[in-house]
Amino acid sequence: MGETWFQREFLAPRRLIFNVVFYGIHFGLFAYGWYSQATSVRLAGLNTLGFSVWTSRGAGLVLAFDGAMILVPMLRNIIRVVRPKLTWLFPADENIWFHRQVAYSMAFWSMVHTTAHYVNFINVERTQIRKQTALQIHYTQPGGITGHFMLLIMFAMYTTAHHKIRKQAFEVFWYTHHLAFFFMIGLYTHATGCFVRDSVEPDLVSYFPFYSTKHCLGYMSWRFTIWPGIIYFGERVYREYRARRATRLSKVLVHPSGAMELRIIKPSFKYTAGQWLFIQVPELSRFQWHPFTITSAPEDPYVSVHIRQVGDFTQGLGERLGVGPSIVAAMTQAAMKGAEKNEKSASRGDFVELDSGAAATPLPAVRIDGPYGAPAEDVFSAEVAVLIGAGIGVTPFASILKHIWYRQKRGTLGTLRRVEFFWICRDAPSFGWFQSLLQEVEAAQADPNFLRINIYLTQKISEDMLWNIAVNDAGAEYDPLTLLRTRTMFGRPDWMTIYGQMRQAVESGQYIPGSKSQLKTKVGTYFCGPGVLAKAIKEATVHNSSSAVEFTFAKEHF
Amino acid sequence: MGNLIWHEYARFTSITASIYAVWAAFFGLFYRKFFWDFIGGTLRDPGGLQAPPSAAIFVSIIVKVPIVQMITIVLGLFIIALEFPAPPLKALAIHRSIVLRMVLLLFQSFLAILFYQVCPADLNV
Repeated sequence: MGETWFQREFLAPRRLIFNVVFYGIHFGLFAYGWYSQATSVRLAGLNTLGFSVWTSRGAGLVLAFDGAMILVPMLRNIIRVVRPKLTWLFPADENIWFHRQVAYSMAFWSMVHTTAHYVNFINVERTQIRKQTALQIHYTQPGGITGHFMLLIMFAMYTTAHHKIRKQAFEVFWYTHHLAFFFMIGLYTHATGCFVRDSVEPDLVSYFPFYSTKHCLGYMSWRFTIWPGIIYFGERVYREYRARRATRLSKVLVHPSGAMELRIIKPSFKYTAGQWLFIQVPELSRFQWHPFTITSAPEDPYVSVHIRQVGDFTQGLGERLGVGPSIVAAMTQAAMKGAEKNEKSASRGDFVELDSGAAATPLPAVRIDGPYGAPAEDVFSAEVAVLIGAGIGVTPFASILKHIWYRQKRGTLGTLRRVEFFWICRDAPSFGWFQSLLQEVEAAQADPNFLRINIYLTQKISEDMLWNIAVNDAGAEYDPLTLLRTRTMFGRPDWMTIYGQMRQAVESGQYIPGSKSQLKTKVGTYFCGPGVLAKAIKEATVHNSSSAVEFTFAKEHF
Repeated sequence: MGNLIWHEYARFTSITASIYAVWAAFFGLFYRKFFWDFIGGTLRDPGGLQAPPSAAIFVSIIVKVPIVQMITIVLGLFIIALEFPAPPLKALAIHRSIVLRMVLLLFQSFLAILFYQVCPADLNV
């Protein structure tokens, strides 16, 4: 959007480095595979087939590399552990993106490899360098069988992984992608038939790995590529074990805006603010895991997630809990009308707790798996934390704000002096549960300067609404839209001005009391939301950094 | 379960298969081989499998003159143009025709199964 393909791929330094290294490795391996085959004395026989052999061998080596790399970004638990140490080196949050890049290049090189082999085998048949027909190689030898099998699996996996299909029916994508298990078996056994050899007949032996290395001169790449597979398999087993540890759904709260809050007790579950988890409800589906952002702080005695009933899983869950979409819709409407609005408590009705004892059906069993994602601990190493959430990207900040609040109470805020919280959304009402959380946090503030909440509403508002706001807003203690003390602002925030003012305030010493003794003030920005916005904010942080104020920027993929 | 919109999935399927068919048929122009020549064929060294005389018609339209491959390429390109869809085709009624697609894909798989390179495309169709 707005930028061309060339600008995106080559003019951003990090992307350029990635492209050079990633594709450099690919072409390097291809060239090496080609060269080592073409100059091999022992494989001179095969070399009479010409270019196609060199191409297929080169592409085969590249595919071995891709086959190993495709699983690496999926090692979620390992990534979570190494991530904080390696953020400077690579954006570990971009693991799905990397997975896709490997997959794209895998598709390309599979095409090269397969085409080259089709040419190879027809030439083998014609020259009879091996006394076989192309058909025999294709459909009776391990290489041919596993190769076609892998192509078929790839076909199924790639077509169902298209983003449209994923959005329509995530299950189709999710189950089909588990064909990867068979794909990987195919990959590791693809070269078992002693295919690359200097003898006429394959030199097979009766013990593992069933071919002798004297005449079988393949890359034996499975020795390397199998490790990510083993680790991944181990990780899946571990996740299954962890998910089965004692978990209890203790409470379900239904907020007036329609969000269900699930409070889950799992003593073995340790996490930090800003992370997310997978949740499974075996009664609804025994195999599906659904990701949700954790909204409780680590200090809370429970793990909570807020779930809006938007998809079939969440609606099914609502039905199961006795708060189906129809009931929630009625509640929401009532809340929106302000029917339950109580000026004294200044909230849009209270949440309703579903009592597990009184309900006709007991609460369902749940299992959770996690945590994954970015811990937000580094918020406490900056003097000023600017938290910016856009749209649905605001959810992780629920946990972070709560966590900050807990630490504020304990007096363990580290170097953190002030928090600026920005919330940019199209329509505030749909995130009603977040408002109530913000209310709690805002009400609990002793120092009015510590936390500042800025809400921007980017939606176009109708004239009726405009007048409504104008009438209600004047002189009211609370903002008519969000019921916070903070006023809602309309339109898009101008980041350059915001950061410019912040810099001036910090430099003149008004912003943080006693900051003059410090040499440099660190202002950390933590953003979660769409990429276009991230770019604008980053530019503002870079532009406004000076000798006295250091603005840092981190885009979080919670 | 989610609502899988089958025709959208079918679109990806037929695009993938058609691209494969076009690419494979392109190579089939250079390495011409009648896939079913092993039935009753004789293996020569060197020379490979020779199709039996009963298959002479296939030999003439695949090996001697690669007519099947060329038709496959044209057909494959047409299906891709239909599915993507190409702007001129989008306005026409045939763009919305499921029957046409069925017929085209059946033709494609029939043609593709005749010569050597494209068998995986058939699996996919």
